Amino acid sequence: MGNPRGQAPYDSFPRLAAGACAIRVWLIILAVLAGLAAGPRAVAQQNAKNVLVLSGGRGRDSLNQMESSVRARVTFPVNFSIVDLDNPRFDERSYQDNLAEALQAAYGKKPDLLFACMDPSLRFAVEYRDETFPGVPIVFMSVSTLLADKQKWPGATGVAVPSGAKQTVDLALRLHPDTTTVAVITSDSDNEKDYLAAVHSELLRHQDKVEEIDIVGPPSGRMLERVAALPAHTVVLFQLIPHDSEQRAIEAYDVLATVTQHFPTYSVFGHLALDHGGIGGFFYDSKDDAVRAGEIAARVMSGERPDKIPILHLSNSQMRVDSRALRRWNISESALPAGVVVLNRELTLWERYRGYVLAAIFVIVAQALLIAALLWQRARKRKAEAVLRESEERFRLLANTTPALIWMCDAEGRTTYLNERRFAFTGSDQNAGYGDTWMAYIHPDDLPAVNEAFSNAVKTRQSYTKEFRLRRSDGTYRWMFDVASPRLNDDGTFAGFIGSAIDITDQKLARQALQRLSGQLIKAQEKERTRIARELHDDICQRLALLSVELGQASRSSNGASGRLDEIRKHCTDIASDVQALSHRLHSSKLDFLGIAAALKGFCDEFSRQHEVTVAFTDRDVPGNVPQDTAQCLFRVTQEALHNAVKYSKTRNFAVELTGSPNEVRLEVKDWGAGFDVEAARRNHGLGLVSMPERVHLVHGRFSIESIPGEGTKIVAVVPIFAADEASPDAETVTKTPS
Amino acid sequence: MKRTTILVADDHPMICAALRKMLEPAHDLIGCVGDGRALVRSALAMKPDLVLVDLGLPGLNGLEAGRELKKLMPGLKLIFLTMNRDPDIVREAFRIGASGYVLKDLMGEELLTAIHDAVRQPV
Repeated sequence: MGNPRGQAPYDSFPRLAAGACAIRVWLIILAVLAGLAAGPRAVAQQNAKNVLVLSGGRGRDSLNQMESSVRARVTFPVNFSIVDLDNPRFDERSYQDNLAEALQAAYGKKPDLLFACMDPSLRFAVEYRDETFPGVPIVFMSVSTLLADKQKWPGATGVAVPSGAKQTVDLALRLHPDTTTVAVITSDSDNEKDYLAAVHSELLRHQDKVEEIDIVGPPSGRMLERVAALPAHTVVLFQLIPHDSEQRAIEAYDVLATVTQHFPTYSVFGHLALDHGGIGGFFYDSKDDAVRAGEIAARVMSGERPDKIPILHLSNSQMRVDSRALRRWNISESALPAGVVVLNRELTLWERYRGYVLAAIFVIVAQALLIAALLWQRARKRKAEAVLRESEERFRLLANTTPALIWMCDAEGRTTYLNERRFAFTGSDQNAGYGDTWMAYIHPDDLPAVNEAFSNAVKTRQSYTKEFRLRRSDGTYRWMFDVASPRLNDDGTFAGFIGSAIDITDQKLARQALQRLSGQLIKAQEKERTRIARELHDDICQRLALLSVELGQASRSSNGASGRLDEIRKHCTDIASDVQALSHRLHSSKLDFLGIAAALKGFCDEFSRQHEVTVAFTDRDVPGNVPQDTAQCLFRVTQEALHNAVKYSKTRNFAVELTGSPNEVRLEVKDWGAGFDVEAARRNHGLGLVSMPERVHLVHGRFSIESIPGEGTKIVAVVPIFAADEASPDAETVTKTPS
Repeated sequence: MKRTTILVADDHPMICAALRKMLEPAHDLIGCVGDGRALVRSALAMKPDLVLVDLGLPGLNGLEAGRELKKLMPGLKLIFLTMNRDPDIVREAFRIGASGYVLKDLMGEELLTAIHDAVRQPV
């Protein structure tokens, strides 16, 4: 084994000031002794296994990861005793001898495993094992393939890490294609010489393009001078390992600072390349290294022979570059080969303020959306308002041009709208506003009924119609027909009424005129019938009676012809009798002489005989003072009703009932026959259905027909009885009746 | 024998004339009126033994006037002379106190008989 020399770990160098070398060695050994004095006693009781770790300056983090990896894979307790080697003096034989003796003395009992970190520790452990801890297996980590693959390591195994020389040289020459010189700065320790050899071997491949200059030795002024003398287009491979414990005027870091200032610098040691101005290099994963080494240590402690476990070569190393150095040497990241990890990259504005930018964009977008939504809402509202305005305009145009008086009220019945036609009709002041309601213009006689109908409608919220007289602007009252319908809000609640009133005065007058005409026609008909009846009775009958008497007298005084005269007289009497009957059919004398009840009874009996049907007549409490026209009306209604009944009812049983009360007489004619559709019959203007009500209305009575197809018909007429002095103006007394 | 005083109520002059011709030989026809109200007034004033009344009189009809007369002059004899053959009216005539009901086309011997019978009837 050569002259091992301590090497700083790849991931960190302890930069604490160190004391004198001897003092340091003994302090370390004392620390080990203190640790071991308590350790073996404690672990002996637990059958723990002991591992002596030669750290070689390896960082504590890596050692902890290794320890955790071991403990995770064994079932027994493991004690780790760590010995820091003083790297700068490692090549000194005396140092190594002293260390070996101190370890043997301090560690009376052999450890179960020697764990060596990095190349110098491995060299030391292998060289001194037989004399200090013979037969103890060795496991190593962070040992370069340059050393690990150099020879067989009996009783030893572990993790070998790539040197990174090839990849680093390739990267440097790729990123600096105009390079003419590659300067390798290193020292002359065994370890560094291995690396120099590896680099040299790689550069041989490029010897036609680049010249290699090796600057070897401890950091010094001379070295700086040589650096300064390097030509342009030089790339430096910096492999000079700093040693903190050295007390030099010029240290490795000073050289490194100078080099990086003037030349693009690469290194196979990550911390040199990345943290001190270098561009980068090819580096292994130190955590993976520690974990894998821990695994191997666990296997060995569990009883596997180290020789049976092949050395593990880490394969997940990466090319890493420092972004700051790339910028310093104007190297674009796009020039980097695939898979290169760029470290310390200065964040772009986007990356730096991404959160703020995204928040701002979000706020702006949200604001824009809000504004868009508000604009859309506003546009929609304006459109809706325009539609509403147009709708209102249409309504007003319609409302103001229609001949009807249109009004609206709210749910409490307060007027909220009156159209222009209404104001024009009543002539009121439009400035009076909606307080100018209907009531002031309604005829006082109609006002209570209108008020009641309106109040009920507001209460029940049902449509209603009403006729009333309204004072026009010229002071005349006009008959109005008012129709009101409930208005509903969007949610279905009652909003009030909308109504329209039209002037029906002319229609009403026409209707009244028609009724009057109809009444007059009926009266004229009755009068004419009465006149004809009287003519027949008063004139023809009297003459026939006298003729008959005279024929009788002639018969008595004649000789021989009395038989013939009697025969003629009998003919004469028959004619008189027929004329008399005709007269009574035209006008019932019984009605005049015996009153309505007797007249109806007689008629019913006669009708029964004539038509061979049964008419059941009953009367109750019929007063004796029924006026002639009223009695005549009831008599005619009965005649008409029975004639209709016998014609259409398809039955032979009828009933007539006359009931009196102090103020009115009620006539009911009914059958239980076929019945009919009253509305259809009215539409077809059945004469009976027109004339019967007309007759009854003429005497101020009420008339109704109830009929259901298949269930019969009931006709009811109720007529008031006026005292002689309060007879209706239309009433006409029949003063002369045939006897 | 005292002659019977008769008041006639009929608005047909030819009937009045015929009656006068027919009754005068045996009775005193003291008057002939043309309506019901005149009948009542005349009867009260002239106090006849008997009135011959037509049913169809203007003003008060024969039945109404007869009802009134029987109320005012219960002893007055009342005979209806009419063309009306309605049995209900005949019944009503006798109900109000008529002594006879003679159809005009039979007013010959029948009327005289009726007057004779009426006069002999007790009051």
